[in-house]
Amino acid sequence: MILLYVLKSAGALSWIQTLAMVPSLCLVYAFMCLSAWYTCRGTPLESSSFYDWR
Amino acid sequence: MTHLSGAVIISGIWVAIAKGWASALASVDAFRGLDQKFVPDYPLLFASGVMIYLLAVALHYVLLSVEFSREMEKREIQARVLARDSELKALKAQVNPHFLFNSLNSISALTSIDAGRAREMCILLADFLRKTLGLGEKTVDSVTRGT
Repeated sequence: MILLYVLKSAGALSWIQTLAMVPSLCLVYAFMCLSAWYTCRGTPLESSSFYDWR
Repeated sequence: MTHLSGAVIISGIWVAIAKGWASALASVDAFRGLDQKFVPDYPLLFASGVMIYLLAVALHYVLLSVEFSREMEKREIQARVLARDSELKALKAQVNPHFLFNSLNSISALTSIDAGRAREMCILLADFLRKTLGLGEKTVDSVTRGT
């Protein structure tokens, strides 16, 4: 919804054009974000420098 | 750094897909010129993609932590069950020989006085041991099922 609003207000697209673009792109990106699972498993928090920030 | 580069790569692919999708839609009469109109939105789309990806990374870390803590909890319960089982076995091993020693001595003394009652005591002792063994197995079983 936020992306829909941002793209509508920032660009020169109409509501119909934005509605045609954003939901399909979000659907694609939802699956693409699942790849973060593998990078998270590959680099656990314990191995990062943020883990010992205390 | 790994996640940031991942975010950049994934967002780049996403923007490329968006470009392709906009070009495909532009071939339809209702969306004519969409690919040209959408060009100024690419940086915004890319930035949104990076932020969403980083949010997804944070969410995945939370999920991994939850999974890890559940695994640790499960292991702790299993260790506790094993410890209780060992304790029970050790107690049984300690109590049984002493109890048997006393009972057999009593039966031995009773045989010379009252053979009938000695026989009855033998049966009662056997019955008691059978029930005790069954009770011990049930306790271990219920503790294991409790996990």
